[in-house]
Amino acid sequence: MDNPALEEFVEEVEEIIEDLEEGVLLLEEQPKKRSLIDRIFRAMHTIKGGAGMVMETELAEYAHHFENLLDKARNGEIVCTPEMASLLLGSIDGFRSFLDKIREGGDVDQELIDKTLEQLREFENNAGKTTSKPPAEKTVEKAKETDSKQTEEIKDDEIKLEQVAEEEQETESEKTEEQVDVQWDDEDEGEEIAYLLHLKFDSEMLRKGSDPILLIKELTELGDLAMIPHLGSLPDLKNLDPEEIHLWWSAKLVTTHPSEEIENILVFFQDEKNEVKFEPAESPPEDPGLASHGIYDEPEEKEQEQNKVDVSEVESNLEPEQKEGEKTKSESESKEVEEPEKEITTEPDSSDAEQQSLSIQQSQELTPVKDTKKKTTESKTTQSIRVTVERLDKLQNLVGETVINQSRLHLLSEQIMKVDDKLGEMLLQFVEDNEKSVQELQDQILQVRMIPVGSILNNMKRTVRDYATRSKKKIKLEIEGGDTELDKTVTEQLQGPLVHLVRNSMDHGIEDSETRIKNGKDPTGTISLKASQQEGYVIVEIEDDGKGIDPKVIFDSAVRKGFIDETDELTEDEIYKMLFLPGFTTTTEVTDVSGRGVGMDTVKRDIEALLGTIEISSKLNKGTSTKLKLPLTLAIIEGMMIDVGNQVFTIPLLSVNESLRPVPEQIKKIKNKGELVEIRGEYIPMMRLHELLNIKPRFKEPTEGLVVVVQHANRKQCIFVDEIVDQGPVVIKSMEENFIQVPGIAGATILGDGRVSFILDVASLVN
Amino acid sequence: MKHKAKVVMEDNQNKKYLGTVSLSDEELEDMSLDISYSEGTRLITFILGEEKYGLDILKVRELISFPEGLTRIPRMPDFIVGMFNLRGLVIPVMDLRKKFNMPGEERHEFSVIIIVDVENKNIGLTVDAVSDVIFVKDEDMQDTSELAVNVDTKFIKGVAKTKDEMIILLDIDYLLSKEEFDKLIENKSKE
Repeated sequence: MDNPALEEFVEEVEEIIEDLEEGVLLLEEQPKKRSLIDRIFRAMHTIKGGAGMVMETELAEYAHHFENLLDKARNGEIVCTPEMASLLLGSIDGFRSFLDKIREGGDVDQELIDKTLEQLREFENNAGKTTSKPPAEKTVEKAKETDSKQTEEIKDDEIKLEQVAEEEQETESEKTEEQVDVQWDDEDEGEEIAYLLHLKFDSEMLRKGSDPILLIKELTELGDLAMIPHLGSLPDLKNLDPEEIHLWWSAKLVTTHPSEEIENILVFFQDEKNEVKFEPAESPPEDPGLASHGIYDEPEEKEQEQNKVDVSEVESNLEPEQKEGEKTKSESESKEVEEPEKEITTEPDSSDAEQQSLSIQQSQELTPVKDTKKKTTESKTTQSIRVTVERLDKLQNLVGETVINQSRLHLLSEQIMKVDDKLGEMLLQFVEDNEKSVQELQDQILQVRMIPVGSILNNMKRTVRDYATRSKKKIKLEIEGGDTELDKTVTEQLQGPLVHLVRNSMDHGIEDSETRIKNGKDPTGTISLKASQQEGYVIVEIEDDGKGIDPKVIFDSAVRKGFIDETDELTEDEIYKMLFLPGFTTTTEVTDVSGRGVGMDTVKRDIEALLGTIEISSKLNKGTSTKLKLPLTLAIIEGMMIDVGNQVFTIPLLSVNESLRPVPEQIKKIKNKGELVEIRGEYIPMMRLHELLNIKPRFKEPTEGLVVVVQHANRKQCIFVDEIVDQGPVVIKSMEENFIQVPGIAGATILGDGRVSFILDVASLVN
Repeated sequence: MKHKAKVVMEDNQNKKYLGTVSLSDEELEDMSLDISYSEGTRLITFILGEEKYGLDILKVRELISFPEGLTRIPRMPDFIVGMFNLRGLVIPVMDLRKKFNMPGEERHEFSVIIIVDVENKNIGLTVDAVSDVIFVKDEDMQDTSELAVNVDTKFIKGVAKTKDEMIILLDIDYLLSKEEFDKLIENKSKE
């Protein structure tokens, strides 16, 4: 795929699909939420449009079918049901198949595509029979009715205007109900609703320390606000008191916030001297993109063309005024005449030339409100750019190089110092200054790579939903701390283990509803995913309130499989650890989800490959909790460089507890169990690293060299080494990139002198 | 007398104009030996023990002299000499003499490492000396496993015949395949 447009399209669609999936899953829970349907429709529409643009006609057509469905749902011809959500999820799988095809070539999964389209047809047919047609026809009739009513009313006496407006509102709300035939749950919260505001303040207001701009600012936070100033009561310049308010405003606010919020803002300005009112606009915008900026117009101007005034139009009405007031005078005047107000009759328009010039100043005051709004939307578009992960990786590698070179420079300047004091000093000074920038560079690049774990946690929703539908268990997924940030690579590689753990919880943990009721639990099981940051680690916990794991069952199973002896005495902790042994399983039945005994060991390996740890704890009948502890990043870690037989190895500093040179009395030899070191009353097993690595050491006994105490999960291990050489940040290079994963080695790094040093895999050393 | 020549890279569909070069008569003659319109492969040839070997030049990333400060990988067989830092890449080096069980010989000044790129992995191979880059037509290449050479025949793809010598073609993809590498670990863990 070397078409950049296509590449971009695939990336974009991938993101849209995620949004789509999330939307559909929410829709399943709240099928009557209008804003969700709209969101899904928009996503579908974008896919269709994009696909058409890059000539992926099959994909465009496919999306089109579903877009149609959603359109019908929006219009109330089809009632949203959980089945429809299933259908849409099917379409998402279809889209993924299309994307795979585009990315890797080959064919789409035609079977899948056909199946989803077939389901779609079925659904539409069924839905069509039961609900759609009659109300739709009714709607049209009703609409006509209203139309004619309107025209009649327009002919009516102008004095009745207010009353008419009210009546229309009624028919309007009636109409919405009829037309949609579905009572949307979120009519008040999610949907954009337009309100008309009438803002007329006490002319003394400014003297009392209040200011209409405060109100206006607050209103703009609720949504799109379009305002028209009324200049009618402006005095001429010589009579103008700058501390009085001479203007009043009509405004249209399009917002998704409930009307109470508007009320809450207005309430502070409502007293007998201020006339501050609001009411829903008579026609909710059909197309939020355009009409949301529409400005409230006279009820009598029912005609469509005049009814909607675009913001750009308002701007073009305002801006020229600032520059050439005279010229636009007539325009403004005529505008004012058109301008909407029920009060128009009671407050005769009295503008003249001088007032007009003043109104220019006033409107200049007003424009900033709009200008800032414009600026924020503009800056939004330039705030982020898309960068491929590949490029980021390259950048990261380069920064890694710089870090290494920095330490080489450090070494070099020390060497120069030996030859030439002054020169060496100067160089060292420079190198140390440079160090700060390098450090900053490194921190920044790491920051750039951080993404919220929420993205993968949310992916679990689908996993849970699909499983729950299939298994007839009732499962609820709770997610917490989705905004916790983690390195992109770590996040991505976390997905597999996470799916596995969640499946385990669903399959082995959560009981079916009957059993749960019998045990006095909520029939719906809960799985919670929690992410949080703690001391340079990200902790991800997967918890279920299922039946838990019986340590006795594990023990027996382990005995049966020959992992342990019946007579062995194990702590609960040790027993749970056995779950991670390869080939270990407690279930006798194998389902399609889990239970084949390949699983927890893979999960453990994956987590350890990320330099993380995994722990399980469980309470019978209460549930199981799995805790993953992951480093924030994989690219650079703090390392302790140790020497064995003149070869330098690196131990991740996070695993190092302490280091010491033991006295002979501290070392105990136990038959078959090797050597132990006694540290403050605790006996910790010791390994001779040189033996393990098959290297000839400089020192034969730990009493001559050093012992480094490392810890993984809650297991400690002493490692006998010759000496500690250095400590500092190291850039981790994968062994697999150019070679293979070597047991006992987590990766490689390049030392200050340019040589390669291997990073010891503490997890495997400890076990 | 100098000749101007256009340098054009060409494969089945694409033609890419790279620039022009001036060539002397002799150079032109030399080139014409290599540029042939028949199908074939350009090989880099090197010497290992008594024999001359070749491998597809497209697999070669670069040639370097034996690096200082190679780090041995613990618990790896002898022929994995170690890893070294090539401008930020950590690259393993395989000693082909040891790999093919040829009598060991002290590395001399001509000892060279060929960095090859196989399935996106960069790996260094030590050889006694690099000799030439030649073009071999397909018809001059022979598939053979009954050849009497000092190397385990499974690592050999065939032989190429030129005017005056025979070149053994290494099956580098197999030699450096993941399967072969994974054996390194299995063998060791059995011990």
